[in-house]
Amino acid sequence: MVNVFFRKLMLLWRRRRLDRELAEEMETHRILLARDGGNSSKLMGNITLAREESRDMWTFQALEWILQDARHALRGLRRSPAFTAIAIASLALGIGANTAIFSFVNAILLKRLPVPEPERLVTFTEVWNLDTVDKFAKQATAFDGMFGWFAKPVSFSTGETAQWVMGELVTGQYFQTFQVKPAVGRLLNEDDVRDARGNPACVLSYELWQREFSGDPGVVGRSVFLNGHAYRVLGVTARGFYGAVLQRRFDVAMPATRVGDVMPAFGGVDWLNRLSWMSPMARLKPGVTRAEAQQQAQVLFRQIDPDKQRDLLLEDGSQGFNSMRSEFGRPVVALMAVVALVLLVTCANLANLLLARAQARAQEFAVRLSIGASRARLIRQLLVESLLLAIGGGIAGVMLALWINSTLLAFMNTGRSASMAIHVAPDARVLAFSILLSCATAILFGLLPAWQATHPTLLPGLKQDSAASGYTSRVMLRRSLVVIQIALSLVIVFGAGLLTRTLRTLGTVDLGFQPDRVIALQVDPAANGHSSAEVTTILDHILQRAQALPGVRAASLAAGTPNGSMEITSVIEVPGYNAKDAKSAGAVFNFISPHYFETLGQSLLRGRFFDERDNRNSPRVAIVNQKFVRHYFAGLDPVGRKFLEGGGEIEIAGVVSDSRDYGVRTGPRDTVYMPEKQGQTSGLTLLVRTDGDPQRVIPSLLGIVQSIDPRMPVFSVHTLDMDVEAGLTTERILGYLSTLFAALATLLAGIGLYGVLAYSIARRTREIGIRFAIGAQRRDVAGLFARESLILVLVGLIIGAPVALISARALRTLLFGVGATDPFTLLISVIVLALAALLATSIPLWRAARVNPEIALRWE
Amino acid sequence: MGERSSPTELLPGTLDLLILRTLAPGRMHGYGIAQRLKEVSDEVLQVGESSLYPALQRLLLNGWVKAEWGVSDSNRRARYYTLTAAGCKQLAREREQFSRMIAAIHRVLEMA
Repeated sequence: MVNVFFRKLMLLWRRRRLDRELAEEMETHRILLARDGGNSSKLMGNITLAREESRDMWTFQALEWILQDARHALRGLRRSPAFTAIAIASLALGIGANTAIFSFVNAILLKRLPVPEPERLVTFTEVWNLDTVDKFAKQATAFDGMFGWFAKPVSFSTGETAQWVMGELVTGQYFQTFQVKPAVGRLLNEDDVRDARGNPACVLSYELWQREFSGDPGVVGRSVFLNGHAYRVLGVTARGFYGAVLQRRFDVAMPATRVGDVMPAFGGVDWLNRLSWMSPMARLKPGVTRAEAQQQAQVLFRQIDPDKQRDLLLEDGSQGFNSMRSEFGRPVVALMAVVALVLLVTCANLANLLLARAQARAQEFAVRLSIGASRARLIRQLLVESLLLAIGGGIAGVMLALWINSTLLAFMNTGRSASMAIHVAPDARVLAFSILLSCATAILFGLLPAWQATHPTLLPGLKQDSAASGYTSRVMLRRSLVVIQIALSLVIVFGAGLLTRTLRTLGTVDLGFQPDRVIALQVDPAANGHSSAEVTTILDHILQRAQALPGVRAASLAAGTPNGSMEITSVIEVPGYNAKDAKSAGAVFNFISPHYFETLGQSLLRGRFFDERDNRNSPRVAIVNQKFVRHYFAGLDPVGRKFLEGGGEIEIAGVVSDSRDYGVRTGPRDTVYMPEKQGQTSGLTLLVRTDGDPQRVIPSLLGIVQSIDPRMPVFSVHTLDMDVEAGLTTERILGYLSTLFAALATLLAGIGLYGVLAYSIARRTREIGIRFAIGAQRRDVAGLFARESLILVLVGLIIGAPVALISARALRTLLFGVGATDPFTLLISVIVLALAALLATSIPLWRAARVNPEIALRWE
Repeated sequence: MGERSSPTELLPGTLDLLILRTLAPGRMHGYGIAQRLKEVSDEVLQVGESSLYPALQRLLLNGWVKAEWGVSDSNRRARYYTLTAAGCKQLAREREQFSRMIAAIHRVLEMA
């Protein structure tokens, strides 16, 4: 079999010669036969057939036929460019949207880390301290490597200017666990991590190596500065490895023991053994199941830390630390459903167009069937035509998808620095998806029309008569397709309506602070090696100079900013309040300078603001928000009362209004504000409220920072409304895209309706003529077709409405301020579709009403 | 057009066997094969082009015969077919199968 296949393959290139030889051989045969007195024409039978059959022996018949069909179909498509253009364009939109969204599904839900056997990786639902990680890595037997991990941007410099890059703090078995090889030099091992306090060393990513050192192997052994500290470069990771997070890229891997360089803000804290900050990850030994490993790990965990009685839970780590799964997983699946529906509408629309096209070719099919073509052959030919369209649409769609992808990514990455950017590159799986999708759509929209068009009893035969039997069944099919289109469109329009209203509602929520015209500038003197005391002086200096700038209304330092990444929670004890459980006795802490509330526009309800007297040496004081007062003091005036935190007393000096600091969707939380002098000294953000355009003030602010220390990196400078906007990115993408897709679906449904009506009117032109001739008014004729349209639209809407209400339930968690079965939104959706249908109906109706009876009666 | 290619219909699948057997003594061109079959079978088996040449192409593809161009006795270029080693094996195999079948058919016809 295989041999035969290869011989055929080789013969493919000598087709013409084989043909010629066969002809010659047969000619010889004929001549010899004639010489011997035989009757060649009688004895030899059908020579052409014999030649064709002989030839068929060495061809791949199916392929040959398909190519032949493809050529035929191409000619046919070229003859009707308008149809082809519409078909390919609508398919490109459908397939493109699906491919684009699928590449997000792929990147967020399907992709795995590019390391050997990622399925053996597990994560722990825990955050551990370094000591626990070390002991665990040494003693656990179920794993081939186990490490702790933490990521934070660090300032990177080779001696001159500094830039922010993504740093990963890792323990000794990190690279061993991932089974990564070095591109040059060697990678961090356990000795390096242990010795790193005296001998700091780091590993660069392949990308950073290419970008900053142009791939120079001499980088090994060189010194680089990370947050101002000198590190020796041990080596570079192999190309393609990009760290422990699926959609991010690491730039530099540092020993976990150097955490003090990365988190200088908490200089006094025992990072190594007291605080838990590392996310653990491990690789299962071959043959060990996750359940077995979990059991072993549990026992070991209790031995290492007998105080901890929590249950360990091992989770699939093949995606690494996938932060986007929870944030974008649901929206992306919702969008996938929407685009799938759009593609269905597209298919219904194309099937409709193809049916109309088949009608025009009914004659051709009848002739071919009657002279012996098989029905299967005709169906195959029509399917090949559909496949060609789908391939064209697929190619255009993939290109469209690439564009949609980069646009969406740019959208999602606004407000994120380059080192935090999300990466979603289409891969082989995405390509395979779009190819499969194209083929599936071809069958979906092509099979029904092909089946219908070649059905012998439906063909008008060779007669010219247009009132043949196929008419009713064909029209019913086209009408059903239109009904389906309208129903599906209603589902999409309703979903889009809900998501748009969510976006609108979110935009009108009172945040409790005014984010516009507030600049947030994040600068960390400690990141350039300044001591804790220097940091305080530098920040105070920056703050004072910023306040003095023209156009600045107020300025403040703060540890936490609205929608920022910093969040400090602490357990508190309020006398007179009985906590139900540990969780309910906590609050968010923020450390601020005196003008914070003035800068953000939060108002004081009771007591006083902080001032210069609240410093390191004065009694600890706090301002709390309304939520806190409701929770801990049942709404009574708390000013002057005290609560306990970390063993010390804090007196409440004032109460401020609530603010939604954790995103629009999340309500205010119990918050305690304390003077920054009484808490944190570094990791602070400078907040500046301006009178006019904030962009005009930013250069002056940067100038101040530069003048103090030019090598001090500015982590980010932006306005707070950008943060608020960025917090709504998901909702905005969902709202915009679903609206776009809803418009597309509605347009397609409109085209479908238009097509059916126009066709119906064309078929009945003579009837219209007769009606006019016997005295019908334009109104009557128009009414005839308006009724047809109305019935289709009504049936579509009646079917679509319950489907829309049921399927919208899947969106429930994504909605805000609007129910999943919101009747008002449904009403609006129905009206939108009805208007679109009206538009699609009016054009053919207008034509019907203007049929000239004299011409119409001579029709056909 | 609808004419049968040979006066006696061959049992299906036997044409390959007959061609292979005909080629066993030595190389032969297409017309020669047809003539030889006709002679040996006392004109009972007449094979037309429409079955002969597809069959020859099939045998070529399977590697049971090979072909080369030569000059015929009437000074025309003709394609000569030769049995390959694989063809010899195939002939033996088909022959045995055929004998078994004939014997079986015979037993059925002769049964009491």
